[in-house]
Formats: sequence, structure tokens, C-alpha cells
Amino acid sequence: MSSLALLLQGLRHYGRIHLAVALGVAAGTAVLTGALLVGDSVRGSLRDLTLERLGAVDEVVLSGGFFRQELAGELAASEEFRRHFGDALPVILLRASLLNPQLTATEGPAGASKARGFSGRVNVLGCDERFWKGAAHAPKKIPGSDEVVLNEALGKELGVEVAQDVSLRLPAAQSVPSETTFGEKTENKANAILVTGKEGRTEPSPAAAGVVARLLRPTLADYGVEIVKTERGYLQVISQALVFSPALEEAVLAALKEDGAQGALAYLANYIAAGKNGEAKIPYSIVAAVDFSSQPPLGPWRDIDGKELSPLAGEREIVLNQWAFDDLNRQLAAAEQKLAIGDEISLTYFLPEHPGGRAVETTTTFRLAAVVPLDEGSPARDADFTPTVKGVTDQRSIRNWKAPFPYHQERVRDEDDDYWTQYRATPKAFVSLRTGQELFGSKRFGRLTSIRLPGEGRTADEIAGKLGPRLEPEKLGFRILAVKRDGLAAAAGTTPFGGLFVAFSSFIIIAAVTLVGLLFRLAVESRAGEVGLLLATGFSRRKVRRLLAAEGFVVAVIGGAIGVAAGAGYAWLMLYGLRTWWVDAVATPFLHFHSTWLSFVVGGLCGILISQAAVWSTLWFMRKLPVRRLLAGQATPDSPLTAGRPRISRIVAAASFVAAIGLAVVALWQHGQAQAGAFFGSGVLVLVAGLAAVWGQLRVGATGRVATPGALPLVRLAVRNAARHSGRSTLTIGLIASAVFLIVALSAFRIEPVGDAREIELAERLAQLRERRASDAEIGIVSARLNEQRELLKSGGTGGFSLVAETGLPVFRDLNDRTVLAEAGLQTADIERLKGGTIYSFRTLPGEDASCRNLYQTRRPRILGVPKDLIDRGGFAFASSAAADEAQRKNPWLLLNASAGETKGGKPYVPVVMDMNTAMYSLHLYTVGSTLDIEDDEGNKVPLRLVGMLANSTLQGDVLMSEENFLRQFPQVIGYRFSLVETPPERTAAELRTIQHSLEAGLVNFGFDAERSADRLREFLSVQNTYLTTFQSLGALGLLLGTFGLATVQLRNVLERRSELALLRAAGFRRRRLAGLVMLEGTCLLVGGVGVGVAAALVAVVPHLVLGTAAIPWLDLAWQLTVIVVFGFVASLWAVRATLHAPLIAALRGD
Amino acid sequence: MPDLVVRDLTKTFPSRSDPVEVLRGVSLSLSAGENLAVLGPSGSGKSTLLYIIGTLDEPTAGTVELFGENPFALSEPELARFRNERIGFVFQDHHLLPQCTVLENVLLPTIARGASSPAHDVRARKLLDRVGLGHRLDHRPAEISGGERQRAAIARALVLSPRLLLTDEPTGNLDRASADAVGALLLDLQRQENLMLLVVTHSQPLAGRMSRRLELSEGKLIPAL
Repeated sequence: MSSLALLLQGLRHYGRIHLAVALGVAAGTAVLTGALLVGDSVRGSLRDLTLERLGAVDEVVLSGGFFRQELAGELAASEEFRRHFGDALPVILLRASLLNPQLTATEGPAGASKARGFSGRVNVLGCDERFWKGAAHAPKKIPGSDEVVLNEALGKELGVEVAQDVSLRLPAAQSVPSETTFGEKTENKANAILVTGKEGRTEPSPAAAGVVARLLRPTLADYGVEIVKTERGYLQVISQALVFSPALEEAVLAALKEDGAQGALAYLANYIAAGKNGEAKIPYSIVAAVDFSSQPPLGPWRDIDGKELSPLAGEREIVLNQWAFDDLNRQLAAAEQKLAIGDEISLTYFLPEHPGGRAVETTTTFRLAAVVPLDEGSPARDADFTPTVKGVTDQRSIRNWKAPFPYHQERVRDEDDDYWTQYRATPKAFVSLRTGQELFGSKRFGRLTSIRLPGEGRTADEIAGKLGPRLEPEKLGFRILAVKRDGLAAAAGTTPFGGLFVAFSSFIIIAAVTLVGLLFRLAVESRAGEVGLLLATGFSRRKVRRLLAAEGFVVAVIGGAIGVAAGAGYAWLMLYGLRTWWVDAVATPFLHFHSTWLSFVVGGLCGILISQAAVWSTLWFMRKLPVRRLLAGQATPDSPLTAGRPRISRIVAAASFVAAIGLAVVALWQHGQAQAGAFFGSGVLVLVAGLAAVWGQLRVGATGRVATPGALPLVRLAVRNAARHSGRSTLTIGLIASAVFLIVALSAFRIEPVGDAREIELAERLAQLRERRASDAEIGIVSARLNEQRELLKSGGTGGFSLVAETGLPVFRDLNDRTVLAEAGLQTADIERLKGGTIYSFRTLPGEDASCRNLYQTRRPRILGVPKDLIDRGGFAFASSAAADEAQRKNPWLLLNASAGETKGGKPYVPVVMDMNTAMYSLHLYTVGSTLDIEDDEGNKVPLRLVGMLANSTLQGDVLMSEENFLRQFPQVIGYRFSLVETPPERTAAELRTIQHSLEAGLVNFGFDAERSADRLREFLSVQNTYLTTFQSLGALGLLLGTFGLATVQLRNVLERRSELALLRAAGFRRRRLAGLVMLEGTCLLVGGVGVGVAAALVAVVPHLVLGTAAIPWLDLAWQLTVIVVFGFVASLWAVRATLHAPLIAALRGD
Repeated sequence: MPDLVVRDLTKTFPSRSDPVEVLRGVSLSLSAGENLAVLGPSGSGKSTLLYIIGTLDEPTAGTVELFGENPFALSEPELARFRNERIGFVFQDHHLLPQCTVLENVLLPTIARGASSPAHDVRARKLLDRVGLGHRLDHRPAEISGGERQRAAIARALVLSPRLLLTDEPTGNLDRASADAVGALLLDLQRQENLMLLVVTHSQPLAGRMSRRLELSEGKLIPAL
């Protein structure tokens, strides 16, 4: 005989109850393991998706401009490249819009059919046959010159089949920023390189990191830079982008400093004017900003009298060439005026940047400092100051200019064309470089059009050879994106789904652990006599505990092993749910089962450990039970019915109830989530009060006399029996009540978006009233209601905007300008419909969608520049903000204009606003004041500080900063790609649809893609609501498991009282009546639990119902609770069965 | 010096109203080879006295000295060892483990501090022989009669050769013939093993077999008639 033998015999003899315990452990372990496997599956599926989307592409080299296709070949030729990668493919990568001409012609872009016939933001890849080589889904035939290959999803969106026509709207291939005055189209060859992996669709090796950056060696041509020797003999560095980007300017000037390089900026003046009232004017003249160098061939500069010019000292001094001076004088002579040195000259020109897409003309006045000759030897006679602009400098006549800015041909005189014929683009006026850069330069786009250096004894190639190696690709527009590595890293996911599903399944886990505790206790209690005997025969309590714990451990290990296997099934079920019932939580049904050993091990161990905790707590409760009591077969402490009156429980009940009322009153003054939280807290306190009251009542015996005449003696007896073990019964009631409370009360957190349906309804009513010429009073009432509704919407999730729109291509002009809309092709009637509305356009730095719809980890969120008008307008609901004064509290958007402090290094933080969900769940910024660093295109860190969080808004997924700060941080970003459309008041549903269609149709060339704000918000909120549904569903599943606990408690009660029940039978109780008694006991606990839970939940939910802020799925809840109650009754039958089958004689004998 | 000395033992139980004083200054002593019956009606505190002497319960006041030691001064593990080595119990209910055979039940105390040895096995078999269960070694408790179960319980109480045997209504669940047999067996074994035997009973025939008889009345021990 040994302890081991005793252990094994115990396991065998009590096999049935141990099996029940093991199944409880299995349930808990399965849920834990399954939840972890859900996390594995989400990560694995995101990984698969990344690999499938990228195929063999490991890295992408992107350029702001076009470069030689050969650059890819040069990159791939390196031996080091071949060691790590497969190939480098030159491609053209553009954002475009696609149309199905048949569908859009008949239904409009937002037609009612499932296929929209239109997609505004399509990534278009121009590639050759090398791209398709080895691709998993290559087309049977490589597309020809007028053919495209679409992916399936896009095909469905467009509603096209193979061989059908689609219309592709591509942007003009730009080398000049369109927002600058000279912006125009040029052609190039490739703007991206796809670097494929060595082994195709696999994870890139860590050793490959940084290889492409090291090996990429663009030539000057690839940067769009050219060095030419001019007719005058000097060398000139020019950029295909017309103006040098600040980074290029800095790099070239630094590299060629010792070579005497100096910058020049040529700009177009719409007018050069002179005279008291500007009577003399020369249209469309080039003004050059130069350093007046004294060295040939860039100098020396002399005036018409041969006197050498020193650099212009004054800020507003100007030099005219002889022709311009004479021309102005000729015109002034008619007005009997004469131009002389020292007189005023005014220049009228467009501002170099066009905020809001509007070309703004301005005039600056100068003092005429000198007049320079136009003879052959003069440095002023130099047409090379002006860079080549297609459609302008290559035209024979000024009148033929195809200018990308507002151009008035009628201003051009014959004299001007004569000058153009003779001198081409030779500047007519000169200012100092400093003045020119100040007036005509752009910090965003550049401040030089050429960099000149003496060419004597040097060739362009020599300078190119010197300059090339000094230029750094990543600073000059080349971006190397490790797309696969970053994608796989991001596949770790924003949301830790493993943890999330552990949390969602927490109630099942709690129920399983409670069940394990109850079952184990049942097992131990049924062996109380054995425990007493072991203690009496000299076993120490510790040894007895260890023996029982060892049994529990063996059972837990067996249960854990079953649970680990069942965990895969649970995970499969959850994944099925995420692909079907809860698909809104993950946007698309892409999840497939994936597993890691770690999840199985961690899930199994956690399940076993948690179960062991339940076992040890049971043994802990028994640690001080007298041996005598144990020997008598009693495993519970002194009978509660003989204990003192439970004052503490009554105090707890009363205090909790008072606190609940207090919190509910406080909640009335709260808003949004804070209010929901306060009411929820109030409900929790009512739950505590209810359970304390139940416990107190059970402790004193629960009912009056059982044997008194009157109704329901059996019910009274049942309640009294339930009260015999007040702790046990309260635990059961508490478990059920908590689950019911959570399931019902969480409904209050479901948010129904406040859409514009009510507004539209009122607008339509108003239209009807006007149509039937109703009284002014009647119209006034509805109109007032409509205004109230609009104000409500303005401070809601949509901000009062009816449409949210994004464009595939940047829009450079102000969409509120009727002429712009007319030029874009909108019909007059459509433009009229927009009257009274406003389109707010946002600058956009492309980035990842940081909304809850994107499961990938966000590394670089999209950034929007909020226009000043919108900041002033305000709107949207703020969950929290750093508002410091009344104005900011009233309109927290103003914080975007305020200072947000500095980093330790003295760099100012850029104030930003985000949706709360984006901040908290995607970017992990939990409070206002949190900071975040992002990188601009040149890799510089931009420190951001969160100054406000929007509550459940349509702006989820983006980081919002003021347009002013946006332009400062991202000067290279051009145009507007995101818009919020505030439609005119009093528009009906039909009008709203028409506005949406007409904007999409009119702005189709930009890929203008509009969406109803309410729909967008509903989509965002459906993610949150689906998570709640998931939690509620799993909570209900946990509650079902909890009903087994109820049955266990009843079974324990029956087993403990088997002799008593036998006595009742001996005394004449029929089996059925006893069964009824036991059933009633279970019903008391079930009804008590559901009742307390529902009562507490109503406290949390009803206020939201009254306020109309909750969307409670009553039907689902009713279903769930009904199933739970029915299941509870069924589980009670287990105990009833034990009662019916108890042997009478043996029970009476105490066997 | 007697091996068991009980002085002024008091035991009070709390209740919803006033505390109930079950034992009021009980004193007794017992030496090796002696036997004693404690009589009294139900609820008189007989079992309470037995449990306190057997160290399964603690007195409210007074002292118990066993083999020159105060057992209540021992730690829980020491007390368990003390009980295991020196005290044997026989209860009205046999408390045999249903999952174990008769032999295993008898050997149960031997594994309180480790596995049982072959010597224990020999002793258990011998004891079972002596109580007339030599042919029932591998039977389960459910397979033997009430008298046999009680005899097995006596063998279990003696397997580790305790010096004090405490029995609580050992014949309470038995018919007269079985009760007589168990009573005789107890005395026989007590003499053979030179034990102190304390029998708590309200059975006059069993008490009559003992050399000393005391009665517990109103919480005090008085000589039994």
C-alpha cells in the first residue's frame, strides 16, 4: 500500500465525478487555447494575405519622378543584389480611376446596381512580361497595348467581364508640380522598380535589409537633373522639374560650392508696369533673380553707360534691359511722362503657391536701379536663364502659349511678339536672388530654376561625374520600401486578437473555472468521511490536501489535454463566426485556421493552472473543518442557519444601492461613452446590492415558516433548502446574475449612428409644405426643427457633412468655385443644387488606414491637412481635448492652430486630432497630450502631439493637422484628395443622391468617389457593435456552461440530503413531489440569478433607451435569455434524476 | 505515572443563543493495560471527550497529558504523527474506504508518513486473521457485513500498534451477537497488546465488560452505577 496506490484507487473509484471535473477543465482550457489560436489565425491569415498580395515582390523603389528603365537593370546587375534578390523590374505605378462606360452611362457612377461601374482610387501598374513570369495568377495572355488586367474585386466593382471595355483615367505624367505656375505634362519611362525575392513568395531574408539602398545608383538623368553648356559658355545645372526641390538645391550647391556655382530663379511677370498710374505695361515678361557676378562668363554686369553693376543692395531694386526701358518710355511719352533711374517699376505676377487651387495675382513695386544693354556681350542677353517649359518656351509666338495658368492672349502686343522672336525668353528685368526668392520662390516647391557655374576648362560630363556620387537617392525623391518585410511585420495586427478573444471568452473561462471548483468541491465533499478518517489515523492535513490535490492535478492534466484538442475546435468555431456572423468586426471574410505550438502549450498550461487554483481554493476552504465534522460526512462549516444575523451584507446592500442612485444621477450630466460607463457602473452597484441582499436573506433562512397553512409550502421549503448553503447558492445566483447583467447591459454600448435620415425627412416635409403653400407658422415650426437637427448632426459623428469623398488624383482647384465645377463638366443645374453648400478639401499625405477596418498594424497613418475654414466652422463630437480656454472648449479644432509645446530637442510638436478609436486601438495613444513621431518623405521625424480625440466620427483612420502645419511639414504634397461635403440645407433624399452623382460624374477625371457620411459612420460603428455582439454571444455561451454549475450545486444539495430526502419519501412524499421540490430549488437559483441580473442591467440600459442613444437588440437578447433559462431547467433535471433514482433504504441507513 | 491524565477539561460550543458548555471540569487518568468505559445519554458529551483525548478536537480549558506530553502544544504535522503512532480509533461508523480492499483499509494508517512496509503487511494480515477476516482480505467494504466492517476497522486501528485505543460506540450499529463479538475482541486485543482502552458507549453490556466505568452527567464524570 502506498500513497500512489491510494491516489490511483481514488481516481478509479470516483471516476465519474472526476470525469465531470476533467470536462470542466477541458472546457476552460479549450476556450483559452482556442482564443490564442484565433490570435494565431488572424496573424497567420494576415501574413498569407500579405504574401499573396505581394507575390514575389520583396521591395519597391519609388520615385517622385520618372527615371530610365535601365536603372532597374543596373541595380539587378550587381552580384550582391543577385545574392539576395531575384530581379528588379522597372514599372510605372500610378493612381488612376476606372470606369465601366456602359454602366456609368446608364446609371451614373453611384448607380443602384451592386456594381458601381466606377472606382476612383485604383493603383495601376504598367509592366512588361517579366512581371507575369512566375506569378501565381498570371493571365493566359499578356495584355497588349490597349488591354488591361483587373483583379477580381475591381472587376466586380466595375461590373465588367473579360473582353469588355473599361475606361482608364490616368493622371498627366508630371515632372512639374501642378500647383506651380509652369506645371505641365512631360513624358518619362518608369517611376518604380519592383524588387522580387530570390525564392518568390517567401519571407525575405534579414540579410537583404538595406541592400537595395546601398546598391541603387541613379544617374543625374534619373534625378531629372541635366548639366548643359550654354551658348555663353557657362555650365548650367537644370532640373526637369523646372524648379529645384529644396533638397536638390541644397545637394547641388553643396557639391559644386568650390566651382563657383550660383543659383538663378526665372519667373513670369504678367506685367512690368511704369508711370504714375501704371500707364506703361509690358505683358508676360521673364524676370530673373540673379547674383550680379563680376566674373565672366556670368558677368561682369554693366549698365548702358558701361558702369559695372554691384549686387543690388536694396530689397526692392530692379534692373531693366534696354528693350523694356525703351518700350516703357515709348508708352509713357504718350502720357507725357518719362522713365528714369530711381523711378518706380511695378511687377504683377502670380503668387508661387496657389492655396485652395486658385491662382492669386499680386503686384510689387521696385525702384529702378539700372538699365542693362542687350548687346551680344551683355550677360543680360541670355535666354538660358529661363528653363524650357513645354508649350511655352518652345512656341514661336507668345500668342501661342499653352499656359497652365490663367493666360490672356489679348494682352500680347506685336512688340512683345517681336521681342520673343528676336530674344526668345531673355529676361526683361532682373532682381537680386534674395529678393527674387523671397517673392517668387516657394519653400515647398523650390527657389531656383537653374544653378550656373563658369564653364571654362570644364565639361558638363566632368561636373556630372563630380555631382552624381554626392547625391543621395533617398533624400532626392527615391523611396525604398521593404514592402514585404514591413507587411509581414504589420501582419502582427493592430488588435491582439488572442487577448481580445480571451477577454471575449472570459465569461466562459470564469464559468468553466467555477464549474471546476464546484465539481471538485462536490467530489471532495462527498469524501468528507474519508478525509476525516485519514486525519484521525494520523495523516497530516497537508498530506491529505496533497493527496486530494494530486488527484485534482491528474484530473486537470487529463482535462487540459482534452481541452487543448478541443481548443482547435473552439478556434475553428470562432473563425467561422468571424467569417460569417461577426464578419463586420474584421471587414472581410479572409480568416483561416493557423496554429502555433506556443498557443497549445500556453493554453493547456493556463487551463491546468487555473483549474488547479480552483482545486486549491476548495481545499483551502476545508483546511479548518473539524475532523469530527468530516467524520460525520459534513464538509461544510457550521450551519449558516445558526450563525449571527448578517449585518454586513445588509450594510453592503444598502450602501451599494445608495451609491448606484448617486452614480445614476451623476450620469445624467455626462455624455457619450462616459455616460454609458456611469450608467453601467450604476448597474454594477445594483448587481452588488442585489447579491448582498440575496446573500443576507439566505443567511437568515430566506422564508418564514414552512409548515404554516397557506400557499406554496413546497416553494417555501425549496427556498429554505436553497438557503441552507447560502454561500453556494449566492455564488450560483451571482454567476448567473453577472452573466445576464453583462449580456444585457453591454447592449447600452451599442451605438446607432445619428444619421441624416431625420434631417432628410424634415427637409422633405418642408418641401411638401411649401408645395401646398402651408401657413408660415407651420413652415416655421418644421424649419426650426430642421435647423435643430442640422445643429445636432454638426456636433455628431458626421460633423453635419452629408458626403465624404476621396479622389484618386489630387485636385488643385477650389471646388466651391462655380467656374471650376463648370469647367470640370458639371451641369448648371447640378451646380445650382450645390448652392448654399460647402466642400471642404483636405490635403492628404498618403498612408495606411488606421481605422478599425484595417487589421494590419499601422506604421504610417494617413495624414489630412484640415483647411482653415473647417477649423473655424468646428463640428464633430470630441471625446476629449486639451482645450485651455472657452473658445477652444467651444471649438476644440482651434487647438490645431495653437502651440503644442516642444520636444526636448526644441522641435515644436505639431498638434493633431484623431478619432478616439484610431488613437487608442491603432496607434495606442490613450490620452490627450500623448505624442507620436512620424516620418516625412525625406525620413525626418515629425513630432506630433494629440490635442483632441473625436468620438465615433467619420474621420476615423486619419491623423488630422491644420493645413498650415501640413504644408510646413509636407511641402512636397500637392493638391487635395479628401473632401467633406456640406450639402445645402433643405435637401431631400433624391437631391442628395443627385448631388453625389453629379459630383462623381463631373469630377470623374479626378476619381472623385463620394460616400454618404452616415453609411461610412455606420460601417465604422458596426465593427464596434460586432465586437459587443461577439462578447455577448460568448458570454451567453459561458452562461450556458454556468447552468451546469447550477446543476452541480443542486446535485450537491441532493447528495448531501439524500437521507433527508429518503426520510421524506418514507414519510409519504411521492418521488414526483420530491423531484418537484428539487426542481423548485434549482428554479429559485435560476430565477433569482436572472432576476437580479436583469434588474441591474435595466438600470444600465433604460436611461439610454429613454435618451435614444442605444440600439438594443431586444430580440437577440430575449432569445439568448430564453435559451439560458431553458438550458438551466434542463440541467436541473440532472439533479432531479439523481433524486428519483436514490435508493431509499441505503439512503436511510446512511450508506 | 498514568499515560493518560485529563485535568479539569472544559468544552464549550458557541450557539445562536448562549454558549453550550458540554464538559465542565472533567478529570480522569488511565495507565497502560487499563480499560475504561464512559457512559452517558446522547448529547452528554461522551464523544466530545473522546475526540479531545484523541487530539481531534481541542478543549476550551483544562489539560490533556498523553504519555507525559501535552499533545495540543504540538504543531499540526507533529500532532498528526503523534496520533498516527500512538492512538487508534474505532468509530460507530466503520469509515472504510469503498475504493480499497479490506487489507488496504487496514494498511491505510501505515501510509500516513510514506509507503507501508512488508512488516506492516504481515501485521495487517495477522490482525485480520485475529479478527476473523483472514479470508476477506481482498474484499471491498461493500462486499462484507456490518460486523465484519467493524472488525476490519478495529484491525485498522491497531495496525501501527498504538498505545491508546479510543472507541466511539463501536457496537452501536451492530446486532447483539455481533456487538458481543466485537466487545470481546476489543478486550482480547487490549490485553494482548497491553493497550489503554477507552470505550465511549451507552451500551451497558459493552460497558459491563470494562474494568472501570464512568458516567458523564451534566458535563461532569461520575462513577457509573
